[in-house]
Amino acid sequence: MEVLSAEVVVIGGGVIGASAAYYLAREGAEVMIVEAKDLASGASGACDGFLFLQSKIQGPHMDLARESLRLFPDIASDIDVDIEYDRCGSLVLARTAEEIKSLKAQVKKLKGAGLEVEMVGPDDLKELCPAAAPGIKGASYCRDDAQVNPTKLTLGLAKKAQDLGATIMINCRVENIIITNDRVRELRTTAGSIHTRRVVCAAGIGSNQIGKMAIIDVPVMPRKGQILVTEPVERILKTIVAEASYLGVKHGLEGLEPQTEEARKLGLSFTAEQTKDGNILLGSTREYAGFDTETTPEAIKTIARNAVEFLPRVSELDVIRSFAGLRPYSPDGLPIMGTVKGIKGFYLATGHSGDGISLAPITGRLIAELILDGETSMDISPFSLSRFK
Amino acid sequence: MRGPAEKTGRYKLLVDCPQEIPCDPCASSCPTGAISLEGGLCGRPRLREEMCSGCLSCLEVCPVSCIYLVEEVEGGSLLNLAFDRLPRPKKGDEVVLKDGEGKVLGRGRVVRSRKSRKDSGLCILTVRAPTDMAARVRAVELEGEGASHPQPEEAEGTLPDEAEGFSICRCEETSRAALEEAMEAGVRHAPNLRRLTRVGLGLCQGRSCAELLLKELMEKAGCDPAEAGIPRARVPLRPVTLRELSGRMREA
Repeated sequence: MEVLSAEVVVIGGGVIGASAAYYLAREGAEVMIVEAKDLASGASGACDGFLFLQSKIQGPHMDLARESLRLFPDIASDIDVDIEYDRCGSLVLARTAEEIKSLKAQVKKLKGAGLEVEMVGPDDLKELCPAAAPGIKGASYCRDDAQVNPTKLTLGLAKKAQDLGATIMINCRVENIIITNDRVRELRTTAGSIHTRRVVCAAGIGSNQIGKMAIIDVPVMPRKGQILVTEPVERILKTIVAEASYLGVKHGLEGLEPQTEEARKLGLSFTAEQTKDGNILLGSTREYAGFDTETTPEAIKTIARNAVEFLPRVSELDVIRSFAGLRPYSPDGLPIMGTVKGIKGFYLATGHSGDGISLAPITGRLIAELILDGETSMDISPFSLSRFK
Repeated sequence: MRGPAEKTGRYKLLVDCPQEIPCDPCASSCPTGAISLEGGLCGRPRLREEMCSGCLSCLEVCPVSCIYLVEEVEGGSLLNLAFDRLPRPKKGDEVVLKDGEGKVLGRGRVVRSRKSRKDSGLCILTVRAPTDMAARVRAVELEGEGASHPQPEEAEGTLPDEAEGFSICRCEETSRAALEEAMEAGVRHAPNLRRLTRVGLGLCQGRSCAELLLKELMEKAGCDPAEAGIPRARVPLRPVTLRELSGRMREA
């Protein structure tokens, strides 16, 4: 087999790997993506397209997301694929007085962090989300939030990287990482050896396995999210929508826990998004089921029940499909980014949990800065692997 | 032109619809409601002959041109069918009549030929044919046209190369040309082809196009069937409303 080489090899052709390759290639680095299956074949191709700033927790996570959101318009105009980026705004719907109270507290904190977010009452809600059930007491609204087509984003970034000189190897599985004198030297893959001194692990749920090859523990585990797809219809949703317990499920915020036993068991909080084609994506669960990607009757029923309750107008729409994706979940839900102590040339860009799409641009840019300049324009120490030790 | 009232009750609708797939343009396009799908969206079309006005709307919209309307007239039958090749037969042309397996049944004469009112490139032909064979005819060819076409044995399992507008996916109307464009851009895996071209993302979830897609991938992109990653259908296998899925009974 021929021996390949590259300055930087990115393991993983998901949205994170594609973004890293894009920013590296833009700076003229010789970069190669090595993907075990196909681009966007993991979490990046089986998720929703939320760019959901108001769902983040104030602090480094929020700063990262906000910086990332700023990069989307540039990406949309720079790459040749229509990524269906739409600054549609977001709504978090509250049904009970307790939820309103907790949501208000959260909005206050987000405002304090400089986010353009506000509480809206039933009258404004009618305007922003005519499909919402009359019983919904209020919502928090963030006009900066947006949606995007995740697959097209991934493929578009990879294609642009390729146009800028990157090599993309699909159906190419990494079997071993050769490290000598604490420095990455070579990757052994199913397509042969690749000589390289720098490797980015952007392998999503495969990161744990890649980490083992470098004798490090990357604590990423698969968390399943199930989503229903309706038939395409005329525009019903102006914004992306989530229920208040989304924040409870995601961050354990007080007063925002799921309200039913089934929802608690499935880690389910209701989300809805209408794609450019008109299909409505209804989500989503957070389950630990290993690498299983089956959809289940309980989840489908519970999601459908939520949809009917929150958006009665969708009741008579046909569901035509369901799917499940595995999110690369880290123990604290935050990404794992940066160098690894003791292994020169090994970089991590993984564990984005449910935020891979929204954090992809900034992650790619920071990884490129780290590799090419040795320093980053934002502090990434809160995301280092060493926080778990 | 004869009025519809005068014409009703004389038509026989023949539909070569071997798969039960969710496809209803024939029924939904029928202005008199003469066509219904037996047993719901996936059922096969049935004509209530007394209601048919012979307008041929169903021929124009059938995505696979598999509808034939036979009208009994004095001294023979008039066979109406959609013709999807060039050159289009003209009024007065003699055509070879063939059955579903490509065997020659006999000859007929074109009494009417018009371009479809839809932007499909189809031509709607009315052919006078002997009554004993009209119902068995599934294709007509211009004299000599068959010479350049593959014989039935060779033709089995191949798709006509010239048919660029050929829909691989009937639900989402994904054309073969769109699929080829995506494959040329380097997309090799079925899941990404789906998301980019929408092939297989419609109501039937690819149950009617998965094999065609796999064939295209193997032939045009040299994909290994195992690597192509043809997705399987997921729950719900047939469209179900959210209300039904949520376990709530439909309100009376």
